[in-house]
Order: sequence, then structure tokens, then C-alpha cells
Amino acid sequence: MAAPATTLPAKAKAQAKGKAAEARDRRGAARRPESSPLERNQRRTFWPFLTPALVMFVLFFVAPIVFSGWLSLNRWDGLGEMTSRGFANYPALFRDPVFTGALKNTGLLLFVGGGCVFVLSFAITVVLRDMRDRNVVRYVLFFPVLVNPLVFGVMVGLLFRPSGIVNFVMEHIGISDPPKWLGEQNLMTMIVAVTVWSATGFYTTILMSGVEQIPRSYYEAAELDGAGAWQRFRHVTLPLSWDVVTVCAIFWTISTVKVFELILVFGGSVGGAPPKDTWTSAMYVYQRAFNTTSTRDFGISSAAALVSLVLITIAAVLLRRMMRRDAIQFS
Amino acid sequence: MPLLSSMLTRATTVAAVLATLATAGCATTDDSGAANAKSFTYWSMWTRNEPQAKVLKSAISDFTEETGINVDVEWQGRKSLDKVGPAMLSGKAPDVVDQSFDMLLPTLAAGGQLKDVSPVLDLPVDGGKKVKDVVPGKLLSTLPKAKGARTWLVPYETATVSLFYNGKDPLVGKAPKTFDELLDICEAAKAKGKVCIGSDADQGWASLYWFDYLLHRNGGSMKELAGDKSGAAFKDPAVVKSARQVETLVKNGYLGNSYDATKYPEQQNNWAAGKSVFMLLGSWLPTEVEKFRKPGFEVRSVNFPTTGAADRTAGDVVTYGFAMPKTAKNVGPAQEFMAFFLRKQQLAGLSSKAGNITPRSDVPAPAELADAAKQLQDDPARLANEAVSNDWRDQVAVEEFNQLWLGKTDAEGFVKAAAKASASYWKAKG
Repeated sequence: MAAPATTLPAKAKAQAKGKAAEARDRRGAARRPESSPLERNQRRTFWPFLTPALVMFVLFFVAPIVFSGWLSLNRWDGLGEMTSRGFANYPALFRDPVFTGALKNTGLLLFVGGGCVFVLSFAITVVLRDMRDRNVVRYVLFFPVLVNPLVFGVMVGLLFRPSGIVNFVMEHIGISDPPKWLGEQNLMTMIVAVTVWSATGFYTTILMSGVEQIPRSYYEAAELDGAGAWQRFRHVTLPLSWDVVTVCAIFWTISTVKVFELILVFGGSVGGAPPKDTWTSAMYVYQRAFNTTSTRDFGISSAAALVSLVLITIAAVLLRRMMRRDAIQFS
Repeated sequence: MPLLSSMLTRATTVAAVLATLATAGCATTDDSGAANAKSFTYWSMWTRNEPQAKVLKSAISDFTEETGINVDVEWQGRKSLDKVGPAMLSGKAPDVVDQSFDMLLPTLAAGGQLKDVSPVLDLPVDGGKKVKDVVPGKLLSTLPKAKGARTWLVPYETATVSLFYNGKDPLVGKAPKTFDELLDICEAAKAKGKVCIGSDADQGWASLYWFDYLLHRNGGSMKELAGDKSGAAFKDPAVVKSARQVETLVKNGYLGNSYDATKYPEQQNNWAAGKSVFMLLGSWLPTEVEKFRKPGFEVRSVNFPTTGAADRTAGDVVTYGFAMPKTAKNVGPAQEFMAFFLRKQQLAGLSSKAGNITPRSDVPAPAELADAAKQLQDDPARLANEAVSNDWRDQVAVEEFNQLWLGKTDAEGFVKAAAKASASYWKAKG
């Protein structure tokens, strides 16, 4: 009798244990619906893998930004005594017409240049889509990406000078009074044009990779419905490559705020900075901190870098939101 | 993540450098000694293969042989001063650097980062003379004051800004001494379809020499313009007169048709090819255009013409020389070398091999710079733009003057815009 007496509670305990384990499993399953061995391994290796990258990121990206923020509250020439200015550098920036002009030029490159790049890239993409040897053309178009912007700056200077090849050709086709390409009034236009020219191949290549994923049947169906070239572009190509366009737009936003070398070479000369009408925010930051011909001010330079960072971040976030669409998957 | 990291990268380019500078920290300023040290470090503004570097190399070799002092030289090139600041913060700055005074002033001298090199002036050179006996006093007295250093530069090369022309050009029968004589030559050149004044559109700092000289000749002062935070100083009659004289040059077409769209060095090469009559530039011009000079071209130059007051004849002087960062340790040997290089035998190479003018009057200048050297020797000395802050010069004077020089505005428009720009500049500076 003793045995059943002891057996029953043991059974009950075992049953209770089993129920508790089931309940735990259920709760666990609710929290982690797919807990495979692989995922458990991944969880274990998450921090060991992330930590080195995180440390580097904090050390080389976050820390300099924080340091830059602190510097922006001071006046410092990089060598002498640092004097505190509080937040005075920020209103001073916006009182400086050179800085506001630099922001406008950055915006010009971003929006006007960007518009031109995308119109041209799509136009070339549409033309190349049905071309037989399009890969060869694609390589040729991509080539400018491999060339340093400094080379463009020098080459354009040689091509477009008053006695350069461009004017020589124009005079031979009867244009006796060609534009003053390198005149100060045309410098910013030329800078935008050269930036567009050098970037179009890169964006065409990316857009083409997106457009080539669109099944031909969509175009055939559109043609059967009587859609013309423009309607096929508008209703098939553009919406079905929207994800790629979004990525390109973000790339463009990032790259335009870094346009710097081209302006330095194209607008600058020995002994002088480029005309201030051509400065972008990156050029402003550089000139304020690293101009060897004048006293440096790392405080105002840091403030300008931070203001530019904030404005560009806002622009990128807005752009991302405006262009957000449901993801498309082709079967 | 790519977006974020790229933006962070871009925006923190400066900050990263600054962080490096700051963490490098703890710069030592111990200059107590090494009086007996047998070496010193020198970062040169010349690159290894330039003729000036070759002359210096030879001098260094002679110096080491004579004194046993080793010179650890690095041929850094024109951007050498960019590296001196960070090097000073990390205690690895050289004992000696060299550059023109207008580059050393804003980067090191104005902030009190240079050592006083006055003792060099009393060191012996040759022929029983001391450094102060062979370096003209006006070269040192015209230099702007530096914080904490009575003498902060030991000059070994001088340059001036003159009106260069071809001595064989029939249009220049007599070098113009007055502005009216210059206008007469320009009118004659125009009648013959020749450009009178060569100038590249992207050389605003060089075009400004015209305004600076005219302002000086008319009794005005660039220093007063730069120092007046209201901008009202631009209404000075001397400024208006100078602007009108420039307007005359532009409106009469003496600068040609395409000067407003050319890039350096197109116009100076054109001048060397005989396509224009005058170039107002530094005495480095003949060397730069040497390969482009047409056969028979005889380089001559004349001081900038006067505009009325016959006594206002000062010529610009640009001084290049040695300086010592505040953190220099091997002071004695370094100063000994500075004096050694000023010996006639050493400096002669700068003239004969590098085509430069030296401070010593007993070292003959290169033939094409004979006029410029005479100008430096005989005429009163002044500093271009009166050594106003380069920042103000570039942001206000060059930018606004360019509008006048390139024919985008008239004299009155320039005066008004420059006054406004100067006031904005100072307002932004807080």
C-alpha cells in the first residue's frame, strides 16, 4: 500500500512537471516562435560579432562627432588657446552669406543635378534595354566612375578654355562667339554639368540592373493594350524599378554632399581658393579649417559640419519617406 | 547603415583630424637645450628636384662638412606648413621650416607659434660681416609683428611685384612711370589689336595687385579698409578713384576679350608668346614662363606707375626665409645653419641656378630680374595688400574686386558691394 501512496504523488508531480514544462514551452514558443539550433547559435554569437564593429563605429564615427560638437562651441586655430564661444558659432554661421550660399549650392547639386542624372540615366536605360551589345555600352558608361574627379576638373579646364577644343569646334561650325564656359558666372553650371556627366554612367548601370529584372511579358501585355513608349515607361518600368530608384536617390544624396575635389580643382587656382559662389558645404568646412593662407577656425568649421550633417540627414529621411512603396517581388 | 556611415564619414572628416590632433596632445615645449646637439631637423618648402632644393642640398652638405652638424632634411613642398601644426602638438615638429612671410604669418607667427630668431642676426656670415650686415634692414622692418618673437624670419630670398614687359616690344618705347603713360601704351596696343594687360580670370589674388597698388598710389590704405567693421571706409575718395581707374582699363578693352574666362597659366603663357604687353605679377613670372618665351623676348620690369603723388613709389616685397617653430629643440645648430646659408657663396646658387633674387646686394640677380632687383634695392618697400588678413582679403577684397575686374560691375557698384561685403564679413565673425 505504501508503494501506491508514494507512487501517486510521484505521478502527480511528474504530470505537474510535464504541464509546467509544456506551459514554459508554450510561453517560450510565443516569445521565440522559431527557435532552431541555428538561431540559438546565432544569438550566442550576436554580441561577439557585433562588438568589434560597434567599438570601431563608436571610436571613429560617434566620438569624432561628439568631439566636433564640443569644438563647435569654441574658437580654436588648431594650435593656440581654445576660447569658449558657447553657441555663438551657430548664429554666426547663418549670418555668413558664404555659408548660406554654400548650402544653396549643395541643394543645387542635390536637386537640379539629381533631376538631370535620373532623367538622363532613365533615358539611356530605356534606349539600352533593347540594344544587342548593351553590356559593352554599359562598361563604357561606367568608365567615368573609375576616374578621379580631379582629372575631370583638369580636363574640363583644358577642353573649355577660350582657346580649347570645344570653342575650336564651335568656331568651325560657324559659332563665332561661343559662351565663356569658364567665366565666373558659368562656373557653378559647369560644376553641376560635370558632376552629372561623371555620375550618369554609374546610375544608369544600377537602374539597368533593376529594369532588367522586369519580365518581358509585362511589356508585351502593355503593348497589346496599346501602350506607347512613354506609357510603358510610366506604368511598367518606373513602378517596377522603384526600389532601385530609391536606393539610387539615397546614393545621390550622400555623394552630392561630398562633392569637393572637383570644385577645388575646377574653381581654384594657385594661391587662391575657388570663388565663394561655387562653394558647397564640404568646401566651406574645408576652407574654414584647412586653408593654409589664413588663420584657421576649427570651431566654425565644426559647427558648419554639424549643421550640414543635420540638414542632409533630414533631407535623406524625408526622401526615404516620400519614396517608400511596398516591396515588389517577381516570381 | 551605408547612408548613416557615409554621412557620418563626410561630416566628421574635420572632427576626425581634430580628434587626432587633440589626442596626440601633450606637446612638449622644452627648448632648454640641445645647445650641443650635433643635428637638427628641417622641413623644406621645396620639393626634392626643384633647383632651390638642389642649392640647399649643396649648402647642407658643405655645412655638415664644415661643422659636423647633421641636417635631417625633408623636402615637403609648398604644403609643408599644413603638417607643422599637428607635428607641434605631438612634439615631432621640425627645428626649422621655410616659407614666404605671408604663409608663415597666419599659420604660425600670428598665433605666437614661432621662436624669436633675433640671435641669428648677430651671427657671422663671411668677410667679417654679420647676418644683419648683409640682410637689408627694410626687409625685416616691413614684416608684420608676430606674437612673442621680435624677429621671426631670416630672409634668404626676396621677390617683388612689378609690371613685366618685353624690352623688345616696340609698343613700350619707354617704361611707363605714370598711370597716364600706361594708358597711352594701352591705347596704342589696342589700336594695333593687341591685348595690353594679361590676366587670368581665376587669379583673383593676382588681379587684386592692381587695386592694391592703385590704392596705395592714390593715398588710400588696404589696412584701413580691412580694419573698418562698418565697411564705410570703402567710401574713401582714394578707393573710388582707384576703382574708376580700374574701370577705365576694363571698359576700354585693355584686358582683351576672353580674359574673364581663362584659367592660369593661359594668360601668362600668352604674354610670354608676345600676345599681350604687360603682366603685373611677382618676380617668379620669368621662371614660370621660361619655356614659353618667344625667341628674342627680353624680360624687363618696372615698378607700378604713380598716379599723381610722385613720392608714393613703394614696391611690394615678398620675403621667403627660415623660421623656427616654438617647439624647436636644436636651436643652436639650426641658427648656425641659417647664418651659413646666407654666405655669398651659398646664396649665389639661388640666383644662378634657381633664378631668384637674394637679400644680399653683392649677389647679382638673374639678368631677367635685374630691374626687379633694382626696384627692391632702390625703392621704398611695402607689403602687398599691407599684409591684411588673408581671410578678409580672399572673402571680401578678392571676391568683390573680381566683379569689377571682370566687368560685371562699375566703380560705384564695386564700392557699394565691397562695403556691404566687408560689413557682412565682420558681422559673421561676431
